[in-house]
Amino acid sequence: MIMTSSTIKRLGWLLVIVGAPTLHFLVPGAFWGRTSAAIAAGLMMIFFSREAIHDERVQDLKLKSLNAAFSVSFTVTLVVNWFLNRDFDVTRDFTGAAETWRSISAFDLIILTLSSALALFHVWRLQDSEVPTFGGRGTHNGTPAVREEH
Amino acid sequence: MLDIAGKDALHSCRLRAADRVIHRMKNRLRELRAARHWSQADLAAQLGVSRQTVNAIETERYDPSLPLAFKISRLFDRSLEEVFQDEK
Repeated sequence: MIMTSSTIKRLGWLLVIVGAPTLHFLVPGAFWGRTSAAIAAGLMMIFFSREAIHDERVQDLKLKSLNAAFSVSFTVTLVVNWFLNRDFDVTRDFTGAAETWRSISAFDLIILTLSSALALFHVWRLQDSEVPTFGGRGTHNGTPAVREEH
Repeated sequence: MLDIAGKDALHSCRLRAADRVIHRMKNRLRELRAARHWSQADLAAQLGVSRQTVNAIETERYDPSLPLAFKISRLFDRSLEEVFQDEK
């Protein structure tokens, strides 16, 4: 059976909204690592599945949003890690030490990146759908209009 | 005072900085579409893209790829230069 892109997207949303909370609150032995893996998988299904009309602008926006989101989430990761450890000395020798250098997990980084990328993608897509009006002449729903030259 | 080599270096630095600025092309898509009384959705259907993509091109937020630009110019029976203008 071949799954369509909209089915994959729906499954992704289902995993994020229903699957992850179920895993976390209803299945015994809950821990954030398992829940975050489910959320990350769901977000990947949502972000990387094809849109209804998957044209070159969609591909462009997805790449741009992923690019921007990765920079944002990596910065957030660095800040969070600094607050967890108060330094960036990952090369420190932890042999026999009570504490290790702590960091947010890769799944957390994926969640941060993909949720920011999804938000950016939809904001930019919304901006793309806004048709400018010139001098009050409606161009709603893309009806023809030209700028009035005075 | 800068010598000739210094001036050349400064000029090439300025060129590199100018290249970094995002360059957008001007286009007459809205005007051509209005002349044919097509909505953005009509044009999008003929081009095989979404209405948002047509709007992004019209508002010059997005420069289409060469294949799409050729498709647009063929659809309006115009040359590529008549639809898209380079502002440089």
